[in-house]
Amino acid sequence: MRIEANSNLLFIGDSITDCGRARPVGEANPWSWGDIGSGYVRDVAAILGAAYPERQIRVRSVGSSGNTVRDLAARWKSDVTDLAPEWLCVMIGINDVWRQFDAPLAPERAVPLAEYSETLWSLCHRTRPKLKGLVLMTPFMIEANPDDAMRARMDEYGAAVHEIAEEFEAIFVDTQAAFNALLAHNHPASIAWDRIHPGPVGHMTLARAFLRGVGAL
Amino acid sequence: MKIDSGTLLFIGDSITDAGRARPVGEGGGLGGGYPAQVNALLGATYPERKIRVLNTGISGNTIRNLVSRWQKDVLDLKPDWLSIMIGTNDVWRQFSGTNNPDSVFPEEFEKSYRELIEKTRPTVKGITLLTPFYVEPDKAQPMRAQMDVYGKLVQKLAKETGCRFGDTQAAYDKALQSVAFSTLAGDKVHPSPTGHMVLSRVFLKTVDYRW
Repeated sequence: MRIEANSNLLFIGDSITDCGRARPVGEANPWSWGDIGSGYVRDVAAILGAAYPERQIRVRSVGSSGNTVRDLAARWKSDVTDLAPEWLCVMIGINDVWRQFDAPLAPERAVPLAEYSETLWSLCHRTRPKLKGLVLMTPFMIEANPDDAMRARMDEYGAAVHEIAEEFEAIFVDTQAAFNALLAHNHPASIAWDRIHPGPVGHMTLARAFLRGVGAL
Repeated sequence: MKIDSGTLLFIGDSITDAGRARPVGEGGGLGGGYPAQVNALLGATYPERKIRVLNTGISGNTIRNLVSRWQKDVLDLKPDWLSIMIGTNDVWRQFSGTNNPDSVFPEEFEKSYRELIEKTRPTVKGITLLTPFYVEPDKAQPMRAQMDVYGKLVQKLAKETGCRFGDTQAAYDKALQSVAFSTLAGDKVHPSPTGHMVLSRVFLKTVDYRW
């Protein structure tokens, strides 16, 4: 397991990471366990705490619903740099793509691929030297047909994440591949009502993909 | 992994209940505890097995309550796999009030528990018995010591009736070497998400789940 004892592990992303976490920073505590949110970050924290109690890993979440990589760039100092994590996990891109399809008349709300790649690259460039470990997770769509227009676009953003991960020696987590394995046996409707926001099995799929990435499973 | 398909039912007290839906907890209504975690882990790891998970835990229950609702909440649901975790309240009542009539002492606990298992064993593919626990590191503390007596009874019952056995107390004892009880259960009884994951891991080990 690659995350060292007494590490600070921070998750940043969109609604999938947010899941009702507390503001300004989501973190479980004995007075309010739900402050970490109800998604994969909670599952990761619970499994790390139960399987590696001696490592005392602190898990926090600053995911925010609706965010694109542009929003992450705008709040990066207060929500990442100032929290000084040793380990950082970033999963972003779903809204960057989704707005291209659900708000076609408001192009300013979407983030085109070139801007997405450049922005994510510069955030990694800025922060990687301060980190012991960086995990980059792809965006995903819970849609089995790779020719679906939005799924195909999402895959392009995932490929960009892969390239950036290699450049910065980050751990790359292919969440789309993890969901594809689930989709081989389940219709998307049983995993995510809108093919984006997963239920508990989908969140656990993300948690497992992250934990495999860091060698915890 | 032993659970090849079919329905897995969890029954127990508040730790199993954890806010589940009535009359039977399932899917998003499994509650916030280890049954929900086990469901998510089984679904994410073994999607091809299509395992259905149900929860009929009820807060405050002792083995006496399980006896009275066994037909409706276990047998009628026809589970293929069953997990039972009971005993916390049987012990706790002995430490709340004087001569609390809801206390269930070891002799009655063992006899009632054995009857439920013997009635159910032929109808299912497998049963897991999980010990009750008290997230208290001092083994001499009276309630902890009494909980261990019930844990030993559960172990004996599992051995004698051919059930799988999960020692939740041992798992908590191990975690308590590294973290404070409040990380696992604020009142030493009702677990946090991490504390529930300790239980999930114990249960999953009894069915040879592969992480």
